[in-house]
Amino acid sequence: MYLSHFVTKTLWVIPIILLVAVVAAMLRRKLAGEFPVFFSYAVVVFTREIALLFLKYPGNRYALVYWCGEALVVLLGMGVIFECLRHIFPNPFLIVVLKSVGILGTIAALTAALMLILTKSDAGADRVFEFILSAERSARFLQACLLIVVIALMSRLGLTWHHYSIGIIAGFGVYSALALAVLEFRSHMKSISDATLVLLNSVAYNLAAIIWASYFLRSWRRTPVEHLPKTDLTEWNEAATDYVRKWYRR
Amino acid sequence: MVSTLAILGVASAALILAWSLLRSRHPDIPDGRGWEEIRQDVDVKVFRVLLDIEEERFLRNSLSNDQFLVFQRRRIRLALEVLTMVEDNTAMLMRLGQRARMKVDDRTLTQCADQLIATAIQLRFNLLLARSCLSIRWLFPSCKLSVPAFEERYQQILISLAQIQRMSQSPA
Repeated sequence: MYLSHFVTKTLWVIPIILLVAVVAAMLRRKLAGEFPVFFSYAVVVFTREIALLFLKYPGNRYALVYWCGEALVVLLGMGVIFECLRHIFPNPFLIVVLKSVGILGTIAALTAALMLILTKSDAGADRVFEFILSAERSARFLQACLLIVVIALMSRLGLTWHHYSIGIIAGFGVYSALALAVLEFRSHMKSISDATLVLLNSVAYNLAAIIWASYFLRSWRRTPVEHLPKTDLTEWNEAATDYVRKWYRR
Repeated sequence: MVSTLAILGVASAALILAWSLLRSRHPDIPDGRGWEEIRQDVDVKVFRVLLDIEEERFLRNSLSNDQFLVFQRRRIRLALEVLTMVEDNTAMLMRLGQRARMKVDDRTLTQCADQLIATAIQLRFNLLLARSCLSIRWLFPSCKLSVPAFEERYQQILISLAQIQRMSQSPA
């Protein structure tokens, strides 16, 4: 009992500490302006957790702060994905990528909405709790789908350089994937208890917080490129142009 | 049950992709000179010969149908290998562009680096298309498909690179 309580508290405290460190690192490195949505996300998460410390549980105020915060956190979590896209893809290409991700995101959102509508609660079960689980599952499904599209696109295009955006996306990817699986095991397959759900969800969030902290607390300073290479690219260019023209003529 | 499998599939895919993103390691180019040592030596002439229509016609007329299919597939496989090399070079150029972007005090250099990355991304898209077309041609060697014009994008990348090179070499 004591061990279980200790583990739960530890899993609750660690991400708060890590997010405070991330926020501090972002302020120190002047990254809050570069990643305003992720910064707001981190601030909202730890502010909510600290506010909950001083509220009576269970109580109306506690529930209000928790669920309003949760809704805001989910929305900001979606916004962070688009914010990272802005950093990874340069401007001329961004609109095309946003359109593609937007279309696929809409499809995923519709699927998630269908999941939400079609999920039926068992007779006698807590309907409100089941609805919340279902809503969260749908939100995580949407997030996971968006992240799959973004990460697959980045991998195929070779955009895997070390950048804060990569850390943010990878963190959300790990968390949304694990949370989605855990929610599915709980709400649909009923194979885990509520206590296990909370514990595994915390473990997933801890992993995400560790990934974010490892990216934001580490120094990524590298010497910028000063000397660019000398190449025999002109000849290569000419040959390439000839080849392309031939293919067009065909 | 189907929805559960689909959801678990999505979760697994997201987890695997996120993990692969974290695990991805690429050789860092110490400076511009390092590019010469790391880059793949790609000869466009080889690629051109591999996909040349006249060569293909000659092979078709000179060989039996079975032999032609074997040879054509071998040529396409080689062309795909060349594409992989070009992809590697493009990825390295993107990383070089990313490094050049770090020079925030030089706005022109940053803009050129942005342009380099944007063009490189477009090229990677076209390479994907070219790869798909070549894969279809590997399956049906007799089918006639034109390859998307990805090399024009490659040329644009190289021009962008040359611009950055000129700017970095010119006195401030």
